[in-house]
Amino acid sequence: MNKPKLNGFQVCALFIAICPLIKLITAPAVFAGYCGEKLWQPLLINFSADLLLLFLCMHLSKKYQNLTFFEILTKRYSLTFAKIIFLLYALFFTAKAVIPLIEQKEFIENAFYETLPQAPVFYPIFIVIFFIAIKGYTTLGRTGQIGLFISSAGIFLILFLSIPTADFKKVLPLFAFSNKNTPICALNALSWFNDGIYLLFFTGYFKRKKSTFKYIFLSYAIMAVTIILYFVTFYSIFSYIAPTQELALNSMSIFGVTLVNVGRFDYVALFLLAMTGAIACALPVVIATNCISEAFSLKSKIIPASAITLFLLVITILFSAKYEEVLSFSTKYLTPFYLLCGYILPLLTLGGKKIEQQKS
Amino acid sequence: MKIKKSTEENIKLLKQKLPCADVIYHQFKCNQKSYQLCYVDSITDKNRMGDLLIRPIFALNPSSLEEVFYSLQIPNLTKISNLSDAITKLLAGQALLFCDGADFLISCDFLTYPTRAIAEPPTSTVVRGPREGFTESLKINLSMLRRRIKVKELVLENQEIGKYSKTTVCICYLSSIANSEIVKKVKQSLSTIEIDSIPDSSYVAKAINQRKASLFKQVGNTEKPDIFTQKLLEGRVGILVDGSPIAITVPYMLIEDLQSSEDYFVNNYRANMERIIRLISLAFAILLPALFVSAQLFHLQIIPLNFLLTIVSSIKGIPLSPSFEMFFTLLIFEILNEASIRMPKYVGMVLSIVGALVLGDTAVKAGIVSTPTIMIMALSGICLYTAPDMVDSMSVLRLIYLIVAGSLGGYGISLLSAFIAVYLCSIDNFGVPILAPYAPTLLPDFKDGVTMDFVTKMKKRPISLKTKNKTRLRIKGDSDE
Repeated sequence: MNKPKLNGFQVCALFIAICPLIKLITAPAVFAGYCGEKLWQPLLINFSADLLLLFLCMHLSKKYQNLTFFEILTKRYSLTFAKIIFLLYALFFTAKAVIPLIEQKEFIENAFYETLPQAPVFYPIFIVIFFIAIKGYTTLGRTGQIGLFISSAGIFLILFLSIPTADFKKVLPLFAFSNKNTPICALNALSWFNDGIYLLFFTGYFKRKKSTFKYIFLSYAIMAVTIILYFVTFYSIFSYIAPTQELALNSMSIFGVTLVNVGRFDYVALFLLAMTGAIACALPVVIATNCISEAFSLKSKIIPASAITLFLLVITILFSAKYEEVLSFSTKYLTPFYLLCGYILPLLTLGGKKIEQQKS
Repeated sequence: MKIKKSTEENIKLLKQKLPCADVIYHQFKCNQKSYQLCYVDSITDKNRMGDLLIRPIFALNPSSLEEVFYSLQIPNLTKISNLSDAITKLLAGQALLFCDGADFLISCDFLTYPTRAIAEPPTSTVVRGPREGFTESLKINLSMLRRRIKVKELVLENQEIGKYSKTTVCICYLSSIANSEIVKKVKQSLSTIEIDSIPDSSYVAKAINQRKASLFKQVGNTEKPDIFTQKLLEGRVGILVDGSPIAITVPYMLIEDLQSSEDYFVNNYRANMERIIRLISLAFAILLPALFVSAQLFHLQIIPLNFLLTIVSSIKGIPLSPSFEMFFTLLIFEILNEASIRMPKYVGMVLSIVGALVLGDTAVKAGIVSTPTIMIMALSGICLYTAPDMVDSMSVLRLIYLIVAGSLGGYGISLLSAFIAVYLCSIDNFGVPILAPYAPTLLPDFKDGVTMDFVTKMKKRPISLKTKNKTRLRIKGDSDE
């Protein structure tokens, strides 16, 4: 089977442009609720854990030049075992897609529509998600590169409008003490984080050059710094009432002085981020579709993509008004599953039978 | 069927197979031998035929057709011994000479077509730069190409396509530059075409498109030989079709239609400014009507207060909903556009007056449409023509955006943009991504993308075209990079 081609720069673009987007909406308020002004600390924990995963992927890429995660599992263990793991990951990524979708719906309906529209405006996103899922990694990579310009512009504009109204003294002192809820928060936020797992699934699909991983680490670092700055700015604007600002993206830039004179041109940023947000919601679906295709050796992605998209559509319709319950369910019951799939199962690549070293 | 020794029988058979009024049969005798000349009156240069064929025969006084064949000083002289081959040659503009006692005939090329003079093409006018345009004659087009590329690496391969039209299609490429895989794919695509006739190169373009139902172009086109030449030198494969002044180039990248040949002839800063203006204009053309409608319907808070008050006072009393009003206005624009192309020149002024009065004045005064809508429509229409090669797809896209904006609002526009971005990212033409050099990002190719570097700094050919020879410019004293 011809492997889709990605390049290192596309992986970097996905980390910078697409991965941050699902963290911008409700996560800041949740983190503020757990840790208050120390909301940046659980972020550091999550990002550090992901860095370890990135190191693992770098090691795998160095050792097994062109082998994908599936191929490594097959050679290390067996084809059946690899298929079972991939089915598990299909469930994992499908579950990972639920919260971002419900968040995105809330964000769109609150930000853009003062009166409820007659048509269900959010649901066409599933057409976009389905379309991306059937196109695969090559298209995803290129879309990430296009998204780089768009997301960067959107996030920059939001920060540009928000930072002048932020009082950064509210997060000081930075290192005086830490909040006891920090590790709990980091654990419960896995549905938004654990981005390093995507690199595991891209391993074997991109040609590794000398500086590829240097740039991947750099892009991940840029993403991490941007998110931390975003969260800190959010708390600096709202302080004690931050946990009540459930839709951070809507409310952060609203106090910008420029807006008083010119109008709500922060909407430009919101529209740009809504565009790339659709791609961010599609990212786990693409991986889940690929997992099912690999597990069942399917040539066409249409059936798995349809099944996953339809499932997510039903879940979104049923639970969109019950975001709190969904989040509570995710933190109570799904956290161990996220932990298993996100950080423990990847270690399987280090065990099992030895694979013959491939010459570079 | 073999040629018979009796010219009378041959002519009788020929008349049976070709009962056409413009096929002329002329009998003459020379040195006691009976000759029969057969040609198609409408496509034969009779003066040349008389000077190069008939007069020399009478001067020569030959004893056989064989002697005629070896004595005549006419290029492309061929012997034919088969009647169906003879008919093919006759219909291709060749004159046939039969002789009593000979079991073959001679065909000579005196083909002539009436052709249009070389003029500046209406689709790509420039202030600075060459103004020649291709014509419908393949010969003339090839001569313009040969004038610009004078090396043996220029390969011109002819194919005949069209069951009835037998149109000559010429594949042009530089063997030392063009990617062999692309050339092979082009030839394969052309060989699969089975069609009655090829009236225009767009038929060839549609046949070689890899996605037949796509809204977006997948082949480049140009009417100018200088642009065509530059594209060949970049590593593309060109296709010239006899009977069409539009040349095709593959692979195609979307960025090509944002570039103009004039960009390379004017000041670099001006060229960059114009390219950015084109890009912004295209965005305005597609998005402005949709954004305006969605702002009116769903997102009034986007519009600054002063402007909002102006709009509200203008739209007061308009009976149509904003989306229908904009749709109606765009439709009128498209109707005027279509009518202005089809209408005879004599009544063109009537159309412009009617159009301006009806839309610009009367409709607004009657309260059917508002002035902001007319302004948006006009701006969108003008902006569309900054990239004339993209008008086809962008005008349809504009309507799609309008429909989506009217029903889903601003989020619909975002989603549609995401969908189109993903769709374009998934298109490869002959192995080259249509959004190159932006997706996938190829930094060296940025030198000639939305912005352009100085011409003297564009030393390498585009990486996306995967050419054999990557260097196109070397200045003495430069070290090899």
